[in-house]
Amino acid sequence: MSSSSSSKMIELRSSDGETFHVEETVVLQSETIKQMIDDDCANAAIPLPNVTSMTLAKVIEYIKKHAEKPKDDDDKKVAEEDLKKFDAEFVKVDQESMLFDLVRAANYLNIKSLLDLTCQAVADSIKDLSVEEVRKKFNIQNDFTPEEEAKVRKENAWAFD
Amino acid sequence: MEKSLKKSSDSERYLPSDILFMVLVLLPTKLLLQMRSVCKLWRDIISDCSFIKAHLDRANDIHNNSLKRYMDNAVCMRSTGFEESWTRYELTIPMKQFSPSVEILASCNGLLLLGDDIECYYLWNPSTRRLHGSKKYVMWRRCDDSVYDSTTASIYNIKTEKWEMIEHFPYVVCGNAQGVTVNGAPHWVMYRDHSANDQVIYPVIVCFDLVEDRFKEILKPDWLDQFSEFEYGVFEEKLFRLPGWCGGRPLGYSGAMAFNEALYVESLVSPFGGDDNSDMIG
Repeated sequence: MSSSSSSKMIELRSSDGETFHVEETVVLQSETIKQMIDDDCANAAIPLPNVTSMTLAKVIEYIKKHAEKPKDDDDKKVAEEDLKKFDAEFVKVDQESMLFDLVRAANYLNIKSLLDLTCQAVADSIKDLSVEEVRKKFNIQNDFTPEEEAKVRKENAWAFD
Repeated sequence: MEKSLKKSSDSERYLPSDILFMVLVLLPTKLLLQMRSVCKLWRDIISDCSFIKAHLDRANDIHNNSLKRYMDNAVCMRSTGFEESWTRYELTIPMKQFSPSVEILASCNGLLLLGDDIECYYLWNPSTRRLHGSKKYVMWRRCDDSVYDSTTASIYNIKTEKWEMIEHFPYVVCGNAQGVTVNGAPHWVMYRDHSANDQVIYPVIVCFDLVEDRFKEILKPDWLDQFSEFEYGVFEEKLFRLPGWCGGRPLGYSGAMAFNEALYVESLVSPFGGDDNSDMIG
């Protein structure tokens, strides 16, 4: 990626109709959008029907931060530390559903580093939960019959100790 | 990749199965075994061959040392990882199927091959605590009791539960030398059979090529004393030499094997690109 000063601007439109202007060099982190630009489909605003404006604003905050280039090697180390801190703070979202929105958006937009980050955050949030708590968190209906559930649990009974 | 999103508030915390796959693969084995009982979709994802393979690949990633374990002494079954103190696996193997002399014979892809002096062999996965007594294709070698006597080699096919003798096996195995697995291929230290001249025997490193189904010698380093006794181990996919023998006793526990935490074995593929699902153990 070259210097951003003369970069072309790309217009993105969220599912609720809000438009965002982002530098092309920044937005190229999304493989999905990169493909659209390569296919010459980015002359008008790019519609993102799967991403709300609230989520898209967060995603843009992330890719902007990750597009920053360190000036020299000393700066690089500082920037890496800074980016780690940013990532750690980034996934500490107020609403739990926001994390799920971000994972889905990262998947849809195909931004690998954001997908890795958010998947890890979801995985970390499961780590200390019971099966019942996980169902609640993911809004999952238990579709086992009591007999089936007992059987699945019995297969790995030791894991529940 | 694209999944349409439902607009209802219930779907706010919904993840499509391809994303669930990516999240679940990050979880440790024990938690995954619990999460199989969340719902049928989760159970099916976690039990799927491609998921198991992906989970194993993560465990096998050499940059991911925290999942590496060392295990010795099958009888008390204890292991240690880099991140925690000793973990005991006592009472987790079905000891009644083995005689008290059960040993860890080899390890590969997180599985241990256990065997005892009554020739009872099992694949044991300490992470899932599952025992595989059938289905899989396991390679093993047998040697005669007397140390420098000629050795025969057979392949044990767990699917057919039969030993198949290897034709023309020009090596002898010293004592109860154990094989180690490097890059998916079993390696042993053996002696080239010089039946015409009993005084000169050379140690060589022999590996078994799973594609060609035959034994091959590999080049050994120059510094290796031709007549020294030695055993090999594996660390981070590299073959290494274990400390030598002293007064006929091993220094340290020579049976220690490295293995990785992983799910069970059903989906492993041959690292040589063979298209069968033959799993092996060295």
